[in-house]
Amino acid sequence: MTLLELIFSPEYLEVMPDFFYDVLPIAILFGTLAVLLLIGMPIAFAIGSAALFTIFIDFPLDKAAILVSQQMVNGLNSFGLLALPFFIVAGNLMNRGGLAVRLINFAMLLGGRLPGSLSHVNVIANMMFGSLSGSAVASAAAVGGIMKPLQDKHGYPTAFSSAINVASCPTGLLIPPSNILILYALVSSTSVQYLFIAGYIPGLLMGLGIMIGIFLLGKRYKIPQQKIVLEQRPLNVIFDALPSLLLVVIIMGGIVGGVFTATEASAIAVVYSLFLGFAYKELKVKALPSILLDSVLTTSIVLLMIATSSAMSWAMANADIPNAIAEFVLNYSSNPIVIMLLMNVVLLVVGTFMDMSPAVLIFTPIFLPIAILLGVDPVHFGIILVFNLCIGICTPPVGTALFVGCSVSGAKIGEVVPKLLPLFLIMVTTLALIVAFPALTMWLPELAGYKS
Amino acid sequence: MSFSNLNQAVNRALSSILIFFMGAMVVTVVWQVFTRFVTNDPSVFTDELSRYLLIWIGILGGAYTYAVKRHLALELLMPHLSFTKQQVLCIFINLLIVAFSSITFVYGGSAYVLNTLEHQQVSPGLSIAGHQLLIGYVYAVVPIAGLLINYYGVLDISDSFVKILTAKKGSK
Amino acid sequence: KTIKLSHILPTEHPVHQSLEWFAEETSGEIKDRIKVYPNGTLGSETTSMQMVQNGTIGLTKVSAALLESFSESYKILSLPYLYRDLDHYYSVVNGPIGKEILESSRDKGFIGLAFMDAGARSFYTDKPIVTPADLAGMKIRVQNSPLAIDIIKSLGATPVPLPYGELYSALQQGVVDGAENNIPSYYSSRHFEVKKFYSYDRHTMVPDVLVVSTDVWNGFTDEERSKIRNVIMKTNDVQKKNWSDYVSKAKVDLAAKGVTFVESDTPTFQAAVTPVYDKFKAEYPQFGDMLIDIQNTK
Ligand code: NA
Ligand code: NA
Repeated sequence: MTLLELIFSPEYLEVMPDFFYDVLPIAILFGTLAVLLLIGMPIAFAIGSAALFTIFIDFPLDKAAILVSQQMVNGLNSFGLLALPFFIVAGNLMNRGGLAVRLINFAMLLGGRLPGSLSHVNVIANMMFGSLSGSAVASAAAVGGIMKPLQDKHGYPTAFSSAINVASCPTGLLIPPSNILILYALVSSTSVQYLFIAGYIPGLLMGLGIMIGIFLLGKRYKIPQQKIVLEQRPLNVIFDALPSLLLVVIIMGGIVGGVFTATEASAIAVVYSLFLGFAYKELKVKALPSILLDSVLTTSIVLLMIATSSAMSWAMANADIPNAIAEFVLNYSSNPIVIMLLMNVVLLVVGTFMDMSPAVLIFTPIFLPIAILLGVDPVHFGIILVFNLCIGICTPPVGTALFVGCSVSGAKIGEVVPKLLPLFLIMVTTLALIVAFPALTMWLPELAGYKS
Repeated sequence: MSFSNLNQAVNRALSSILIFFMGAMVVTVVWQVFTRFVTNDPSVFTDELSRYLLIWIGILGGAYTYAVKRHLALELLMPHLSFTKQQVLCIFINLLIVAFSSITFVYGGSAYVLNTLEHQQVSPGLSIAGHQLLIGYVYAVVPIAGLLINYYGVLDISDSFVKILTAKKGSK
Repeated sequence: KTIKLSHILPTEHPVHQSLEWFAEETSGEIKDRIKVYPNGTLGSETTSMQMVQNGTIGLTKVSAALLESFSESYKILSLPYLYRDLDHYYSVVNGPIGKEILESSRDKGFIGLAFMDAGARSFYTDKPIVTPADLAGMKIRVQNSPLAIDIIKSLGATPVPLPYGELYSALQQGVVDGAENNIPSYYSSRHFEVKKFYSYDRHTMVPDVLVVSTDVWNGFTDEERSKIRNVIMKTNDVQKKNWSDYVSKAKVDLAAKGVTFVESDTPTFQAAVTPVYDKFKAEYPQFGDMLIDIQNTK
């Protein structure tokens, strides 16, 4: 017995207009999700319940239950996801093993004179990390985890600091290498290499925008404005940080030199931080279980949400929600600017409800042909799409970057989101610039020989 | 054995398993790099084993995270309620979670496990004592986590009841 | 009612086009409508197979290599250099042996409806691979299956089972020195951007399989079943044409993008894989007769 058959009589279902079947799943999915989130059900369970309900519309409850549990397992069955727990473990080890302090001291040497220096350091570190890995959540976990104790020590407000970490961690999805750009390239048959080159400037602009945000908002959100002067001599700080900096060299060299993949690099980072922590004698074997358990907690908060949101993506694809949205966009207007704008709005909204990979898989085939029709280059559109979804992973209810950022800093989502809103405004402005001026994206690839 | 002893034993067992899995996952991936780059004889099981460990950490860890009340939620309604109403809302939310977990994790999960076991789907690269691993055993984490979620959910619900009762007594 | 057909290929892929053709033709013949969900939006090949097994979706298209973990009989199709030529391949998979394999999984919740041409897999690397000696010491990415690993080992290379999602970067940075696949996948995965030599050794010809859920299949009337079988016969021809059109188009484009195609010295490869056959016969004596039947097929 399906939900549809439970509520409506067969005669009624016969005469129901098609419109009803299009709207019902959308209403049930978003309605259930909204209500459950509002009353304060944990997000992972709210998403799962909404998925179960939506699938229940046209599958009997027992089948729907099997489907949801299958999709949960399937959503976690991905090697690329390993970077998330490993960078969380590495971050915790670096904190407890004394690597983090040395690294940040070094960063302060460079940026300590700026007002709000630790926030800027956070953004820059996210961009640097982004050029190592293709994972926003790994970046948020590693950088956020290291910055947290330092920002606490210097009196940085937790909520705004988390917001900055969250908003700047997706830069790595545009700055190559990036798994999500590879995924887009495969679905859209565009060149991975040119997409990678095209991602540099938009990625840097995203980071720059957040730094401007720190300048503009720093005073209002009470970010310490005073210079941070280190007691140690600069040369000592540099010398002290060298072994920790070597981690960057090892990871970078290992990836570029073909020793390990970007995902495997995260496990190497764990081993190296462990080794250095022991070498500094700041890490004790006895402390390891508690470090690992902390990491499990931070990790599984996010993993369970990834699991249930994979069931929600299935529910959406199964109910043809993406196609309904595409039809809506095309019926709404024939003005190219309006259509482009609408597609951006839809992608922003989709990004708030869906995780990145399923969104790319589902919406690329729907929107790319429309974009090409409007004369947008596939490489440019790929950057626009990923940029949109980058904003999406920072927003509730399904924002993996938001979740990771909050779990590593211990901040409450409700406190972080208001601080994120002005940063979203900046991100959307940056996105508008990238949409309006194709040269920002296309200049570098064209320089490298790309022909549309 | 008293009830709080049982509770402690469950918690300790669960956290020890999770710690072990996390450590094992690191070792597995390092082994993958080591056998490929150093010994030039790439291991064939690490890719699968690491993914299975991740599934277990994600879902079993999800149950543990629920036990220690660390799951993220949007706390929009809760702060505006009186103490008793907060407890009532807690009971309601926990009931929903127990219902969801019973349907999806416990029922759906065990049906999923039994289906895949019955169809004898194997894991291509992982064998134990010469037999390829039946992949259904990997999925067993779902019903196990479901039972744990139900256990912790019921504990939390009765906790809330106790709190309401003591608050009422106190006010009289 | 709508019956769902899930697969993981992009819409431009020739197999997707053939499946679309199949769905459209069949929908006109039976009372249900068949709808294709490409790009893996309903799940990976493994998930799709599981959904077929418990009747959540009706149909899926997966590689015969993947089916090894669902039904042992498909293993034999992954043996290297199994066929003398293309005609031999067609007589095997479209003949009684093919039929036996397709039917073998009825009690496991699914039935193979048809084999679909998926070409031959060959190596792509930074240099021409003419004889197995050229592979010596190279790290070659393989699908994670014991047989695929044995094949690469017997050819003197080092097999690396690496997740497909990591492969592009791994090829680019040199984590592996090469991979192996058919032309359409080499083309649509964009791996040609980083590995420019495609050497035709054609070590395996593992077909794709169109799979139907046993539950769904039993739900059709006899008449519907025979109508579907008829459409499938025609789909095979459509697929042959789609595939070869796409391959020739892809090869022109690949050549224009600087890819060099190399004809390998196949007999030297065939000689090198003998140990794979010995091991297979020892491990799976139950397939010994079938192997002889395949070799005796005209
Ligand atoms: Na990146
Ligand atoms: Na979001």
